[in-house]
Amino acid sequence: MAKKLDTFRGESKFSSWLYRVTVNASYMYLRSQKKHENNISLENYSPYDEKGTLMGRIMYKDWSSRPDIIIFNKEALVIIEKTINELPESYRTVFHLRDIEGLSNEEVSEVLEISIPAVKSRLHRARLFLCDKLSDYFHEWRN
Amino acid sequence: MFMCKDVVENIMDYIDSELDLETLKELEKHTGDCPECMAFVNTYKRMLEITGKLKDKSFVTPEIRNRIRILLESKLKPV
Repeated sequence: MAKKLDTFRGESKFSSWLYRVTVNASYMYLRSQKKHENNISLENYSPYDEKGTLMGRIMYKDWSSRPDIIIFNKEALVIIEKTINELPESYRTVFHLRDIEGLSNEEVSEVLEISIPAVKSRLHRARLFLCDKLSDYFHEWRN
Repeated sequence: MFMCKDVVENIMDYIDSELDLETLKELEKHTGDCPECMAFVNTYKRMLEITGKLKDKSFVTPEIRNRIRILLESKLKPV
């Protein structure tokens, strides 16, 4: 807001100007988020470092023993849906067909006309991405 | 030597019980000795449990839905 202060010319109420500047900033933010949304590359997505070791992050954020009441509540399911929608489309589609619809690798390969190794690779990266994001969420949530 | 990276890269086959016996033994030995990998396997399994609850949700385009329908219909057709 401070950066925009010199654009206030006194032609309108300060509150109207402030409202307009805030709305514009929000639009700009949303637009920049949308640009990045689904634009991430998962090709080399992995939780380990160049030496092939996990970095302490996973144990630190381990949420696997959280009770079902936390994991399966409505709010958590909304977050999970949102996270799945953050996947790039080609990964999200494979993930949906395998893990939501329950199709086999062969069936997914047939539906999408891609090879079975490509199905497995996309599913693997999609799951790693989701695991990572959900760890962030459940670790932070109600800690 | 079996490393964390190998656990990560074999996790899908591990979950699907498709690992050969030797790899399975190595993975389980490493996981037993490495709390970080144990946490990875546990959170991975938990994630699959959660996403398995989303059966009524759709994350694909209508075109893909149509292709699924065609596939399923072809499976139902008598040979």
